[in-house]
Amino acid sequence: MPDLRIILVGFGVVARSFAEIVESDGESLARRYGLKPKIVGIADSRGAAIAQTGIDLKKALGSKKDNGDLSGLDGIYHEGMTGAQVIKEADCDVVVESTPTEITAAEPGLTHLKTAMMKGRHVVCTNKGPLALAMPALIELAHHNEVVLKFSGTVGGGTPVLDFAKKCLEGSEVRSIKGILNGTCNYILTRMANESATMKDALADAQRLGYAEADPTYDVEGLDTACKLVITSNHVLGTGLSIKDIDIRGITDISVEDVKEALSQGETIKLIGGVAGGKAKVSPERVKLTHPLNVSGTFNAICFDTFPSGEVTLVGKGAGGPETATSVIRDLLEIRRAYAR
Amino acid sequence: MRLVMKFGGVSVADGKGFRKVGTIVHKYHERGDQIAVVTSAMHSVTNSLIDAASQAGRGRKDHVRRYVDDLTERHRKACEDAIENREILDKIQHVVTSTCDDLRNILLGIAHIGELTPRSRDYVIGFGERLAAPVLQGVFEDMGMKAKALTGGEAGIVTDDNFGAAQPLMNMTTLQVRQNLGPIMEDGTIPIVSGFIAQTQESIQTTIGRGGSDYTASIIGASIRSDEVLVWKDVDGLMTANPKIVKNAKMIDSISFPEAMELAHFGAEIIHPKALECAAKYQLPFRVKSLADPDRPGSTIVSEVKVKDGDVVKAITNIDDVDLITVCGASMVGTPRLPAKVLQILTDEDIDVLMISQSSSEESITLAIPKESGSRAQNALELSLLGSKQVREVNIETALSIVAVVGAGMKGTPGVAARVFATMAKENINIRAIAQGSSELNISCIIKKKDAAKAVNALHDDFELGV
Repeated sequence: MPDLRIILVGFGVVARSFAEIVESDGESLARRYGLKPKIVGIADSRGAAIAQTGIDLKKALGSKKDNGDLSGLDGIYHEGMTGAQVIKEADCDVVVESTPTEITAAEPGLTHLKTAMMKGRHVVCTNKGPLALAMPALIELAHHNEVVLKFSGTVGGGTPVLDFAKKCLEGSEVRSIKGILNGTCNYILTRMANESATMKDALADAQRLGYAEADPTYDVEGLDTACKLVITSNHVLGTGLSIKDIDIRGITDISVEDVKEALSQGETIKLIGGVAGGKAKVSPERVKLTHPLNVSGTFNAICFDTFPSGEVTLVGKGAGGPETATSVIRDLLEIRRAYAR
Repeated sequence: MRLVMKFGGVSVADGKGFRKVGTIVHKYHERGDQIAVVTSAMHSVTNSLIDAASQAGRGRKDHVRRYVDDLTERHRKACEDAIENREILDKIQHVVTSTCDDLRNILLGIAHIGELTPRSRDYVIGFGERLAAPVLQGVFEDMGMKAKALTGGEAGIVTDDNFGAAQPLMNMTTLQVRQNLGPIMEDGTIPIVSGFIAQTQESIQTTIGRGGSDYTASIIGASIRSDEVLVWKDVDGLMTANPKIVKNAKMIDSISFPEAMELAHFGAEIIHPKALECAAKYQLPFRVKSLADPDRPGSTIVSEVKVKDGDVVKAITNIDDVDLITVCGASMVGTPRLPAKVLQILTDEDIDVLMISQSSSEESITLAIPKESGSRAQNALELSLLGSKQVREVNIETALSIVAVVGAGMKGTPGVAARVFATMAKENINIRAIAQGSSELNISCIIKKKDAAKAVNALHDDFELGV
């Protein structure tokens, strides 16, 4: 069984969780699936390490924890080396892109993906930015270079939303999609509904519990939901949307009174990303308390209206390092199967 | 309005031409339009580069040196005639000279090795556009506008590596062009994109085929979502017939993409079919404008044209000088592979087939071939087919023309063909072969070349297309 040589571009929560799985469960992956990942390059925002014989992951994780960078990997560490340089220089089979999401120009993720595919590398991407901005172009580039581009981890984290819709619903026509795609917003709205907490308090708690970032704008303004909606719609319905085509309204102007009024009518307010008839939008919407979409806390839920089977709803955890890392494993398995040698 | 303006080689034939382009663009700029310009190479430069490339491939260094000196001089002269401000003139002439130096080095390199690869050929033949764009930039700046010359690749057009006729990766291209040109245009700067050339994802220069500048204009227009593409030509617009043949031919106000593509295929190559196909896909309206009379509205090419009652035919076109080749033999009946074989033989010889017709008795296949490859086609077919028992003979008939009537209104209108044949009969013109596509956008007839002018005029009159 040959090694699957991997470059990790971005060494945040997701990539580190993935590295931990490879480090601790590598043998099991090989035994169960014939998957032998070998990390030959790691790049973060400060520098990069390259070793064609494989990087010592324990050391890499330790260095990141102690120093905040990869400088502990002496001998193979290059300070200031960028992700794009590593992709160009190191020989590998797959590039795993997990740098932070950025949606105005989607950089540096977009450059990482373009460079990787140009070099004929398969790509696993958990970074939503490039796909939200340029999905049709990236898929075209993957076809042109005859490589596989997988991005399961961008929507639903460990919950296999994209492949579920594309593979398991085959034969039914998906007519519209509605989803609760952001755990932070759903946590806040749940607290507002159940405990009459104010937006401010609920957000503060979400930050304290590590659900929300220090700068929560991206979540509460609906941008994260919009990214996931674009990716899901393009993947499942074949639309050619970009995040710039979407009407986005977040939850910042929702008050406890709004939620109470909805509750009095047997409904609650959720931040919904929806697409129907080629039109996509993100906005707070009322959902019946009895509807399967009414999930609480940080859970995500996505409802596919299919013909003739009717509504199918998938519920699961939407984010988290270890969860998203399993999606990377899933994607790698698919690449391994497609290119078994 | 957001506009793309495309200027062909004739519009930038000399300094006066460049200046005139400046005047036209200036007017729209003053009006507050956001403009992107696409330019061809100066008239005849691309052909001369193709020749220079092949001379270099044969190792002729002296020829190369002379050629590049002339080319430099021609562009420097154009700058002098078109740009008044001394500082700008110096700047642009410097760009021209250093670009030409590059070209000289490359051609000498090719001559030194004595081998011209498709990749280096594409690099060489794109220099015409790369030289024209900076000259325009100088002219625009001279007239007080902000401008920036870009190659197709710099603008963001990315293609496969099929050198000579590279295909754009349209999704990536539209994304990149929008990112690259959008901010410049918002800022009031006019991007001047070299037509015809693009690059691969590895930044190697490619060309997108003849007529490529129109195609570039389509691609840029689709990317920046322009309201219209204005194609400036040395004609008034699209005409109901060739004005050299039909005295009272009239300009067509509005025509659909499929109709315009039919016209383009039939020799009226005002706009390249590839450009129209791209424009149709992105629903990007085209307008053919007259350089001589810029205030005329010109002809528009749009997605949908309402067909007026009784307005069945839009234009009469003709291709002079075609040969008709007939492959016949009784035992061709029921041999489905033969037509494929016939076309394969011609494809292998790189021969363009203009029209095909086969009777349902399958006794013969008739092919219209451009005159310059007629006898080559006959030869190739004879050599491959005559021993095969199925084919009795391969005949050739020369000095013929194709005359076609084109119009979306023909679809579902009975009697158009009858009218065409009646008109031909009245003029005592014998029709040698006929083809009508099932799209019903055109009916093509092959007649003797000497009758062509008569036929076009008679049909033009009969369908009342004139002024």
